[in-house]
Amino acid sequence: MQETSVEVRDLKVSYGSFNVLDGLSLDIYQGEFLVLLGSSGCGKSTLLNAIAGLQDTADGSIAISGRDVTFTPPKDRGIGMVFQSYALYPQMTVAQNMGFGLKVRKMKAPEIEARITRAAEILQITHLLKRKPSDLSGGQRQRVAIGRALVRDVDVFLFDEPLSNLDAQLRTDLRVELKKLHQNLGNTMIYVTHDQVEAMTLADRIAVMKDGRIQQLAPPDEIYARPANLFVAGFIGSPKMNLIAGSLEQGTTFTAPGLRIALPGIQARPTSGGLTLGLRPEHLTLLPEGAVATGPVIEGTVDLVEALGPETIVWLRAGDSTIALRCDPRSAPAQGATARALISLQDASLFETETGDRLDFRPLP
Amino acid sequence: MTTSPTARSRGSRPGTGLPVGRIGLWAFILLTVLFFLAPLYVMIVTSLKTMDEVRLSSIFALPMHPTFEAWRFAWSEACTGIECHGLQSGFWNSVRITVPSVAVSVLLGAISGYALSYWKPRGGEILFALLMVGAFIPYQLFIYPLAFAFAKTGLANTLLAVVMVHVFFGLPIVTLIFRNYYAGLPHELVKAAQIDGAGFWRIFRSIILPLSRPILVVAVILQTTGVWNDFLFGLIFGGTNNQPMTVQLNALVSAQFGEKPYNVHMAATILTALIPLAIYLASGRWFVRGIAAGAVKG
Ligand SMILES: Nc1ncnc2c1ncn2[C@@H]1O[C@H](COP(=O)(O)OP(=O)(O)O)[C@@H](O)[C@H]1O
Ligand SMILES: [Mg+2]
Repeated sequence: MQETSVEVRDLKVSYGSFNVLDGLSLDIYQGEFLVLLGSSGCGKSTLLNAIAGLQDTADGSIAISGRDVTFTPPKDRGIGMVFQSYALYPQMTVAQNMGFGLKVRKMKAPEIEARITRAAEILQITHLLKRKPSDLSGGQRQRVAIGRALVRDVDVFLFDEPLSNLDAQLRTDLRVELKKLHQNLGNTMIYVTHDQVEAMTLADRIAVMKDGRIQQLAPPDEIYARPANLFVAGFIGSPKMNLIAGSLEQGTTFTAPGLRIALPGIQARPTSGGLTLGLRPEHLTLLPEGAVATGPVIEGTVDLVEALGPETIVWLRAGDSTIALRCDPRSAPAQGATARALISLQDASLFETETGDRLDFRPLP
Repeated sequence: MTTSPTARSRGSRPGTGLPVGRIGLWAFILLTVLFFLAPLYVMIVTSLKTMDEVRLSSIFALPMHPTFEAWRFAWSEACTGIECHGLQSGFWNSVRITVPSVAVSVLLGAISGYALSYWKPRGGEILFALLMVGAFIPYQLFIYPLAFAFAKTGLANTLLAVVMVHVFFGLPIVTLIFRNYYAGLPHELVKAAQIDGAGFWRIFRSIILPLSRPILVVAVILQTTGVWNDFLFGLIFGGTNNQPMTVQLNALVSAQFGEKPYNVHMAATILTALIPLAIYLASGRWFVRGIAAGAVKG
């Protein structure tokens, strides 16, 4: 049984009459790296600010390290926060930036100095300590911002899109460093992003958010393999999961406009409305001409071929749907050709079209 | 061969030669400058002449024997009403009025702008709207009620009354410019400082104030010139002991009998305008920079 670090219970946050969060609950484990993932405006920052104590809550409770902090000011919550804009104090040096929180708490100068030195070593910014933020690069500023939380020995680190202002290369580098930092420190980290790659690579668990609600809370591989609903299915993955809306006929044939796919042995829960079949591009395998299919097959004409280097994306037009599939560059078909792709049924997802909910289904062996 | 189409379409480089439009522009600028500088020129040369020379020479003529006698007289001997000690007491009165008025209104404006911008107090928006309405109502409307209130509280004809009135009427505009400036600073700075454990005042002192230099300069200039140039409040609320320089200047210029000593009038006027003039000249660049910073970020 893992210990809980941050516990959010029935949280409600409103701006005027607009409820950004309405009854949100979330348990975050001790030492966990939890990523809040969602598109812009879904309430990620609001949730993070509420955990930090920077945002008034209308209802519900928040506990950190077993202590109810719903009405505790930010400084006493045992949290540190890193912002997208870095929010370094422009007129202070790096060392002063890192020491400000300790100075405000009236810590003795030698102790402050020692902590700054230690944090600077961990973050490899010792040579920057006397500089002003304006003389630092984006990546260096971000490190200083992390250092500001580090010196205070906080239980929980909060990150609000900390890498979004950096260029692509630096973002990748810092992502790796953040992961290492987490492994070394072992603190609980809550990380907000709209970037699914960051979420997939950093997280122990991802909470996918939409309109102030958590759609799914699970480890990255499960989010990817078994999305809980149509939103999560469409949000994660690039190219996106192929989502084909249709219905089930005669129990085992999935029918969509211009498309009939036999799903032998499928056991779907009967529903009133339609079904949506979800297929990841890598769960479709191109069949060589004349090969015998060992399972359900999609057939279509090749619309577009995108060579990405290590792999090639083939866009297949089948009926009304355009379906992406990954293949080896060497076996990519020509544009305009007819192609057949084998569906890996045990990897497929099935959703209720109306509600968007995932349907558990097992193909019979 | 004719020139190629691309070369032709580029046309001539702008700014080379002296096209008619440019000459016109320069002529206009020159005229404008002359229009504003000519009176100043007349004032300065006249103030440096003796009255004999003023009588005889053209107003544009340079003084034959430049003398600061008229300046000295205006400063220490000219009659400003009953008293005849020149403008010096008015100068010091103006200093005594301006320094606290500017200091208090700028400081309060900065604090209220900061509070409105970052802390969004309950009712803050309403308060701000009221301030704005207050800023745009002609202040003459307030004079009678204020005079009445001061008379009732025994504050009439005191320095404090004048300072209070200046602070009262300066606050809306100062609050506005600080609020707009702070709206342009990243709010995450304040959030970070809150997490660091700093409170309202500590954040203001350690984080916000050091970032406010450009807008502080703008506010101080705006308020200093405004307060220094004031005539009405000083006249009405200051009483005879606290008359600012502008009021004394008016008395000096209007209360003479017989021949008008134009050289003294000119010198007195320049003396009165010296402080705002000096501030503009010394800080013009800062002023523009601060305004621009406020405009871009706000
Ligand atoms: N101060 C505010 N006043 C009114 N609405 C706000 C305010 N801050 C955020 N919102 C709204 O709340 C929603 C969630 O915002 P936010 O938590 O910042 O989203 P995210 O961080 O996921 O992009 C958005 O629709 C946003 O417009
Ligand atoms: Mg956000």
